[in-house]
Amino acid sequence: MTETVRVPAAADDLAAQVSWAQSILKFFREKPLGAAGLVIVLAYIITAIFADYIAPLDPLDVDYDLFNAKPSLDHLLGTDDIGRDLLSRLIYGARTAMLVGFVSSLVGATLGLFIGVASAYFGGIIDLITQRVVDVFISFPLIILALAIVTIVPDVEADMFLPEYLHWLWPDIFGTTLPVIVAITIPMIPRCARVVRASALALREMPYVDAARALGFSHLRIISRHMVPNVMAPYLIMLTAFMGQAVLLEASLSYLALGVQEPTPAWGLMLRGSAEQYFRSAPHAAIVPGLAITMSVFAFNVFGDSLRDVLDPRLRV
Amino acid sequence: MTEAATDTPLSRVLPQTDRLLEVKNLKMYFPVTEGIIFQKTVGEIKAVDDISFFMRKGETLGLVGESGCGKTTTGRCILQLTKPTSGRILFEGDDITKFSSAQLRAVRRKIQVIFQDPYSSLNPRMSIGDIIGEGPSVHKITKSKAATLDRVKELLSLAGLPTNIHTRYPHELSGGQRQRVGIARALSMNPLFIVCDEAVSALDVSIQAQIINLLEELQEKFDLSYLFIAHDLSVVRHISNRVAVMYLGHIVELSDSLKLYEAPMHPYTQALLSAVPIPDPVVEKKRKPIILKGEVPSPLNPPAGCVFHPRCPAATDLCRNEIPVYEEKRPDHWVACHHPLDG
Repeated sequence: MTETVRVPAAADDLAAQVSWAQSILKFFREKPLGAAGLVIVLAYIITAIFADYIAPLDPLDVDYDLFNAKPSLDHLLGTDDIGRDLLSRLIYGARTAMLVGFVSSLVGATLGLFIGVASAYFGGIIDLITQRVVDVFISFPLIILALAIVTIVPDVEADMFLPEYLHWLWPDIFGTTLPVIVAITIPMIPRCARVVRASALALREMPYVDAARALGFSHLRIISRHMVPNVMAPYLIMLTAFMGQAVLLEASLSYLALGVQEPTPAWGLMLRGSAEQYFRSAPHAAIVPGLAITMSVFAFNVFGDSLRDVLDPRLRV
Repeated sequence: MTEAATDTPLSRVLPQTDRLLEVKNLKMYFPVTEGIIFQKTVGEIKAVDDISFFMRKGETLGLVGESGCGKTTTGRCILQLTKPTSGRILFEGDDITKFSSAQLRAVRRKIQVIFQDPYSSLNPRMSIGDIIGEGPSVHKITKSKAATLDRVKELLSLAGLPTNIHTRYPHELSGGQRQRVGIARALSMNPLFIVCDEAVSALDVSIQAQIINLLEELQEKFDLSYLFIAHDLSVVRHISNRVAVMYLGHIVELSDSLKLYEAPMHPYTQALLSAVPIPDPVVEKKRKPIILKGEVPSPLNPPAGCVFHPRCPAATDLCRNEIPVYEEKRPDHWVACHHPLDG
């Protein structure tokens, strides 16, 4: 036996040093703008989850005395054209926006991740076919493809597939937002797959992937354990970029009356109809949801940008 | 080249079971294609062109040659990482090129690999313990997590590493240590045969010596066979029992390492050996290196006849027109040359 190689003790502390808390703190120090984005995103998420407790009134309650009311103590942001509380609708609208934004970007980017990595890993004819399909999808603008898909997908209510006592598993908001989520998810899959494939192509040639094949591992194992973890950086960047896009797309679809349907509160819906008609007499009805959309997209994008700077070693100085 | 090449009198004396691995008429041509959707083949790169050799149990066969001569491709074919164009690879008597994926999975335990670059051969997202222990646990060699950890520790100490580093990640280790982790991973499946693909080329000289000593120790302990791919002739001489010299996809000479170094029969081997400096200024001054003219021809369009003829000092018309037969010119000394040197 040769003498055992010494590993310097200092390396022991190195691993311990990079804890979660410390890396988050570092992120806040180095990327204040991105951190601000993160804080806003978190604020939106909390609002969405606890909407029931935060909202002062029921977003569906109609106050027949006050149509298009100016902000007052009773209605902090005023009311819309049929007298519903704007602040409450705004808060519940965050729930719709966040649900659509997170679910569709997570599902879309993750499916794209696996399709992209598998396409690069198998190569040959599989790669060729996958990439031509991706080409077809990418050649449509996001919104056009989403418009086409949203008209196909039906609403799915809980009583369609769940027994009565399990209805709590599928809140109504899932059913009403499902077509929108599907419509936004599908155009995102090929966009993520294309970006991830480019990184995965370089990985396929790495000796550790060859070593994994020589060890006789299954394709699934090599893809999920050896390739996917190494394309996390482009995946996370795509994911955060998609979140902002998904929120905007949901608002656009709802504004075009093809997304979330009345009376479900959604920012895009709040912008349409009366908000357009009465924007001279009651401008707050359009400004408030517009600001909510802008802020959330802005927050997602600056956070995503900073995340990219931190994760992409090529941009690291 | 015929199959008879490996069945000459001397090799017949040895029992067939003694042959762990036998490569017969292996060809690996990479197609060169044009077009995006309807690809058509416009040419072939003959990376490995009709080579045959065998390996005995417990033996080290050195495989040397210039870059691009097909050494690594040969190794990858044996590992079944690329599917050869034609030819047979017999491992313990079975042709592994015809194996189903389930059969291949079983035989892969016995054939492992050590790579050149210790930095890219370990998955940066996995701990050392996971890298080494994944094979045994996936193949149910170790039945529980504790057993896997014990095995990992055993392998780490076999590779000369401290046993407590299994929680570390590859970036925390030096090049030599990473190479030892690569060796431990190869050993994790109890292999019979290891392809060492330039296993020491990326390390500095003092570490090279350590790794070579480690490989030799492990060979003795576990009766391993190595296919030692390298371009450093002095390293190969040290570790190999026999050496094969490759040029442009062909094996031009294969022999006992002592005989090959002392009395090469192929002009290319002679030229290669004369390029190795001797660490003695007096001797070095008297030597006349043989300088080959020209460049290595493209494997896309190899020369007719003997592939070495455009650069060979002894080339004749025969060499230009006829491919020399790879045969056993002397006992256990195979050469593919029309005009072999007497040595």
